[in-house]
Amino acid sequence: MTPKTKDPAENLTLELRRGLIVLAILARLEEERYGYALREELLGQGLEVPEGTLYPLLRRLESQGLLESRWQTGEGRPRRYYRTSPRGREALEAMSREWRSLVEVLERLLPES
Amino acid sequence: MDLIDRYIEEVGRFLPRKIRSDVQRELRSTLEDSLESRLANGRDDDAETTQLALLTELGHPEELAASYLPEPRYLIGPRLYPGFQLTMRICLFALAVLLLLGVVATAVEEGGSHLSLLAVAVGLFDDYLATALTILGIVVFVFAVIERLSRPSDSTREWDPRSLPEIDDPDRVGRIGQGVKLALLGLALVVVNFFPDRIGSFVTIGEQSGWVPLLGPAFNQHLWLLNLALGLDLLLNLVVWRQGRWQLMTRWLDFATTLIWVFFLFRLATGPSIVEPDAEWMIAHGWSSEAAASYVSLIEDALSDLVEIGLGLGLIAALVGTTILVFRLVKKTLRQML
Repeated sequence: MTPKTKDPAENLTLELRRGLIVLAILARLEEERYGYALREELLGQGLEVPEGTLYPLLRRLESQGLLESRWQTGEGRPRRYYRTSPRGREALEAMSREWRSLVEVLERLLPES
Repeated sequence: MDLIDRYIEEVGRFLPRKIRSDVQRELRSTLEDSLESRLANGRDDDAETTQLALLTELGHPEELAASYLPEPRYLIGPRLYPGFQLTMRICLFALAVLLLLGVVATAVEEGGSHLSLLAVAVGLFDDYLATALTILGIVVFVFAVIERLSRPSDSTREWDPRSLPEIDDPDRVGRIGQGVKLALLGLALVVVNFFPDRIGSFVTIGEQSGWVPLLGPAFNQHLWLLNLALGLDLLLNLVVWRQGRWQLMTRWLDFATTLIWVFFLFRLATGPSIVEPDAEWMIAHGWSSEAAASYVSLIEDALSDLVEIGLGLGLIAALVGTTILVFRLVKKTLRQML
């Protein structure tokens, strides 16, 4: 999705968040969750992901083989549950390593606030 | 629930059938979860306000549906777009020149007033627009095919910096220029096979004006050879485009294709004239029989000779060019072998 705003700082912040959201999703879906529950979980941890971003993203990650899903249609509302696939776990490990190393480097590079 | 139902229905309208019902089902389930939670938390005043807020945050149904679709979703991507623009400019410019020639020819022949010239120009513009739209359709089709045949390979592919071309490398292929060449070859293939009646000229005789096809039945005798030459040229240039530069083998294949072109020109120059407007076609398309007869005799008297002279000169030029090409190729091949 193309950001609508023309403010470069806002655009860059959105770009930065986009990649990190994938990392957060893969980490949180090691335990099986449905879309809304995942959103609440991330929100509870301080990461707000718009619903219009999250639900299509779950589908795309699934089509890339990083997530698996199944419908649960027992009692109550039918829900689609997602969980990180073995391929997704590999991606999560690689991304986590990269993230930790980047944080370390950027801590040195960024000016102290 | 009315707004939610309408929203889900609208999102579905922009989704492919394959995933539509599944996405709609999931969307309903998550929206109901979200709505329930918002109402329980009392974040908004009432159910309708809550629905409005929720759907506004989700975004326009078309945008939400688009984010479910895989990338890329375009006919002609950014790599080929400059070539597409250039091809369209070339085609439209050539067409505009034809239109202008039609008006000028009328001015010379008829010596009409400015107003009647304007009427002719407006009449010709109709044909121009129809032809321009046909060309636009074909060029988009050809570029869409090239786009799908030439998807770039993985950007993380291994490469050797030593394979970088020299700055003044005569074998290097300009991507845009080559793209335009491919499109024009594709356009020619489509036109000669599916729209041969579009090869013609804008004609003005007396009060009447319009597009008249120029090719006669003799053209069909050469069609197989023309298809062979165009097809081989297209394939060869596609390979060269993918490789990014001319190599010795593709140069030799280019030489072979040039020979087929020379043979094609030779057959055109020595066979019956392919330029032969059909008087019956003109009459069937609203021209008076006098106008049709006058145009056919004009073409037979003047244009046919001109075309034959042009073909003869083209053949001589092609033979000279081919001879120079073969000398260069032999030299290059020997240099590589020794």
